[in-house]
Amino acid sequence: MIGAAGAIGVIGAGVTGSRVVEHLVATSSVPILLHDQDLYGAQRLAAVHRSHSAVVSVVDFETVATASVVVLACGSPHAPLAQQMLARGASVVSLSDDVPDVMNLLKMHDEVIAKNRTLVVGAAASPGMTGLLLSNLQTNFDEIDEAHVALHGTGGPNCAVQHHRALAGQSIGWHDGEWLRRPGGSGRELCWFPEPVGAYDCYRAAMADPVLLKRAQPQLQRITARVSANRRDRFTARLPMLVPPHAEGGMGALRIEVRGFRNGSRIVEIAGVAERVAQIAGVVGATTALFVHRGQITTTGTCVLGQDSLPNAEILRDVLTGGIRLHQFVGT
Amino acid sequence: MNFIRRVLMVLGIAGIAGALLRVRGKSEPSTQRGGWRPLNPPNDPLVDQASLQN
Repeated sequence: MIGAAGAIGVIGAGVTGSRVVEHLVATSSVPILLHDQDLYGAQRLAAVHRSHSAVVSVVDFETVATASVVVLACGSPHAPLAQQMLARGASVVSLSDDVPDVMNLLKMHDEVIAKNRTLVVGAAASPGMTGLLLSNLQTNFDEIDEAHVALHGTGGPNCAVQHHRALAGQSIGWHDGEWLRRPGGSGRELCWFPEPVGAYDCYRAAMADPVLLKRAQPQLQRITARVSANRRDRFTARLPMLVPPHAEGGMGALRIEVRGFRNGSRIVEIAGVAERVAQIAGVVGATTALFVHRGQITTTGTCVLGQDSLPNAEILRDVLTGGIRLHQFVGT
Repeated sequence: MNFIRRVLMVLGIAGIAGALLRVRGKSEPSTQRGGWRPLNPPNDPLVDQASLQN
């Protein structure tokens, strides 16, 4: 059985990594092995949780790999790190949202199966939470064929850099049996997010969601992903970041619009979440890691949240218990 | 020299026009009217089973 005993490792003590540790400490008493290149940051985070029931120890890279499952909550690329963790016998939960990195992680499927381990790819907010919401909404349909994701806000500085890059990159979308590549920053759509975020103009961007949602639900015919941006974001997207990113973005939100058929009628369901993006990513990543650690995810190889072989409803329930509030759009 | 100036001017005007086209424009609304309501978490099959037995 995978991860029957031992600790949970976390690589990255930044904004998202600290939320992962926070959630693990709050919901379990599993020992946590924390590693970060910034030793002072890791020690500070461990000190914050010193008085809690779970032991948070700052360890080196070799020691973190002795955990039963390791959460990668650092900046991309995660593929080389995942390879090293798997080689040392740990399962991996990656929070990467970088498209080439996600593709490289998915390519490791055979290698992960050979090692009889689990590699969960994109267990963050978008992707991650979007997969769980897709799986949840799917139960309202007889058949689904479209999923459209929109994201507002960023987590930590690495996430802000990724957001900046995504607007300058090429968006990937699945459209009637083929992958369409369109320039980032095009395809403006006004998307309503749950309150208090409200409406924001969203644009195509290089996001990993379409790749992972297609992997989760292969029957989907159309998948798009958009990210909110203002004029300055789009105007400066192809330039280096002129202003250093904030320590943490403000209130963020994500929504997923699913279309399909029920009783022969065409219907649309929209679900969304309004919360700081790092908080969503941290709770989803930590919950997924706990499921792998407890052996509640028994799928070996690479897997993505939302695929039928994972206990998506149970993971989503635990995520919502962790303080994330789910909303449904009612209207036209 | 004049040629270089003209080329730079044309490129500049094209750049400004392109930038204006890029940052201005009309949004396509994804939804027309409605609102958000809180959604309950998915049911726990084990809890459901237990409550049915009681």
